[in-house]
Amino acid sequence: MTASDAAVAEERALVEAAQEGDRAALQSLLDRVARPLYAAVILPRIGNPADAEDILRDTLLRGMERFDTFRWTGAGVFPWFRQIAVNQVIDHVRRRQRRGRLEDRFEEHVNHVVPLHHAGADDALIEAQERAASSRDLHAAMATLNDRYRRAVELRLLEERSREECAAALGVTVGNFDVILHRALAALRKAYGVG
Amino acid sequence: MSDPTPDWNPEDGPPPSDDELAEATALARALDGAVATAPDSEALRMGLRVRALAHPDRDAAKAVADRVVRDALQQHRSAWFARAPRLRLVAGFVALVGVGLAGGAYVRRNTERSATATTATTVSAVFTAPVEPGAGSMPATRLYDRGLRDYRASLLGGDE
Repeated sequence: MTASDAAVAEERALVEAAQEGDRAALQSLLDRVARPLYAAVILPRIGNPADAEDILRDTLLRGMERFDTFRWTGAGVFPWFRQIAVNQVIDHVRRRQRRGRLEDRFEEHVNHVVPLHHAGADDALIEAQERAASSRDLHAAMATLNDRYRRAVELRLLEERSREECAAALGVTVGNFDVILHRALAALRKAYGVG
Repeated sequence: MSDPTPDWNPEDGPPPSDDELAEATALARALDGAVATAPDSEALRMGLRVRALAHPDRDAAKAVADRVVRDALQQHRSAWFARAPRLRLVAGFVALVGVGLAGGAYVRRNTERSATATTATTVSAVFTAPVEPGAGSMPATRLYDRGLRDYRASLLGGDE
């Protein structure tokens, strides 16, 4: 990604102003990162919108508390907030699982850092980049499923067809399709990472 | 929901148990949005994750982001104000200690200066004046003799 020098300079100026206590500048930065964090980083790893909203709130609060420790490296503030969000996601899953060990694949998945230059980028572009990276991981996980399971996920969740259409496409009853989709998602969860 | 077991295809694995059937039904209803409160199942979370990735609801995400930013800023400000009285208390205590230390140093310095000045400026001339012939240079016996002679003179009223 290439961002104009003016956009990078603007973001850097916002960071400096925010670190000097300018709340309007801080809000501008939060507005820039909040939606990509929610829609492309947190929600696709959590699933539950209410939990994802709580995690976004905790992420922003943690970021504000520590914002004076942020050091400009040229990549912008998004990767910094993204890492906080990823840590919050891991903490959330760990608490939910009520055990001290996460499946390695999940931790590896959520820690996957996209080596992109985010400084100066608008939220839509950041979100698109994040989403593209996560989609690649998802499709790689789906490729490990058997054909009927993969087809069930594709039809119902990617193509958003009705249960009746999905069942007809697989040549089963709607009830049987529900079971197939349930098993497909359980298998996908193992391949894609616990969340 | 139709009964899945009569025409279950063995290629799709073993027939589902009653529990699995119930979970699959709940999953289907939750993904359809037919239930207000979705069951907390791993399969449903995975389904929602896939859906969130494949079909982002931009308007909903924008609304959530705006709400959370506003709430977080307000909460951050409230937390700062909550901490402020304690910070002021600590700052006041530190300032008080600082004033005390500075005052003590000032008093000590002035006391030392005063003592030094007294010693330096009020030295009696007797300590610095050169010794010259006179009473001070006379032996003690002669002083005594003079005193005795004066006493006799005053007592007897005559010349010695």
